[in-house]
Amino acid sequence: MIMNRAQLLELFKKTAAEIAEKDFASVSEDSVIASMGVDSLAMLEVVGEMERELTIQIPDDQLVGLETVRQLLDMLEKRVSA
Amino acid sequence: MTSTQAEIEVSYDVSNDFFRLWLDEAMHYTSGSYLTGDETLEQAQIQKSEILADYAEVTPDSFVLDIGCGWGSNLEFLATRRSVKRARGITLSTEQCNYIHERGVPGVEAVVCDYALHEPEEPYDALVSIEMIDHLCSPAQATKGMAVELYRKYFEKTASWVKPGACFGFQAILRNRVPRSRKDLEDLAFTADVIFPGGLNPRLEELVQAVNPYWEVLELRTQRESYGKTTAEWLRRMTLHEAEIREKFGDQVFDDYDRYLSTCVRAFERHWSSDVQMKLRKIG
Ligand SMILES: C[S@@+](CC[C@H](N)C(=O)[O-])C[C@H]1O[C@@H](n2cnc3c(N)ncnc32)[C@H](O)[C@@H]1O
Repeated sequence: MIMNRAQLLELFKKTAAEIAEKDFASVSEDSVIASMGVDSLAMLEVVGEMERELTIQIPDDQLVGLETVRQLLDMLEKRVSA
Repeated sequence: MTSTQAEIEVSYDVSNDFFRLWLDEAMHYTSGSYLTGDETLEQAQIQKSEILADYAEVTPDSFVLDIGCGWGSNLEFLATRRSVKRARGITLSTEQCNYIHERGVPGVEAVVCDYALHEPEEPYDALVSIEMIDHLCSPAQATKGMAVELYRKYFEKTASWVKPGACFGFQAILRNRVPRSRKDLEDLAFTADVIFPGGLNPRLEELVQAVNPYWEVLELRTQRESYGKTTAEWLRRMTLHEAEIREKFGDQVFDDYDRYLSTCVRAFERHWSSDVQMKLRKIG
């Protein structure tokens, strides 16, 4: 599934909202993941759900040290277009 | 901290009689090596010890150390099947050490000792260590990026105990892919916190990094499926004794180990975990 950057951000917000049962309407690419109030287990679930949706697999070591939503989207985008 | 003596006792001192109900008769508490897939657990365990003794280039005259020797299953293999005259084990668990001495196999000796404090009176000819390194780095230490440094300290220390060119038959559980579901992550965390407190399985790349500059990797094989079969067989045997375990050791023990072993079976099936055997040779 080909997605542009804005669509990826929307998918991220929608998936996170479903899993964390919160509203992330104000989240942007600059948002810091740790300050979204989503624990690391839930964040892995979000990544897992997006991997399924986008039919990609992200190597675990690339998930370490992600700080901002932008960094996560960069990585997803690279995989989607690969 | 690495697993402390108290934490080790949580893992191994539930009761020797409890483990005897579901491990093989020699009480190997680590993966066997299934080579055809049709072997019994007992055969797979002997094959594991054979692979590691061959890696370590053990002869009857070798003075061999088994680091983290458990209930002495591998020591007993060395003494009885490889005719090793001096096989020594170190463990942190007093129960395990007493058990080994009670069995009284000629040529076998065990000591309660933290590997970091062990100083042999003369160098060893060969080393074996089976899934002991999994106790050396806690999840908290791994988060701080200390894993390779802690493993390297272990490889440095062990290399200081042996003669030049000596070999080491090494086996470790590995952590590999991270599951993406909360339940799976919680099951894995439960295993780490309740069954093996203070422990964490290394990643293969960390081990390969850490052996340098003390040991050369001569051979390396992984056996993820063997561990899947081993844990499935442990679970099957434990379940056969469910009523007895609940009565003698309590519901909590049965339920905890049921959850732990079921999680292990899934972990090997789904590539969250694996197991590695390496033949290492001391450099210099
Ligand atoms: C999973 S058990 C494996 C036992 C045995 N190798 C086997 O195959 O059944 C790990 C063993 O490592 C020992 N151990 C853990 N940390 C240790 C340390 N720092 N020094 C010595 N032994 C240690 C434990 O006491 C236990 O016997």
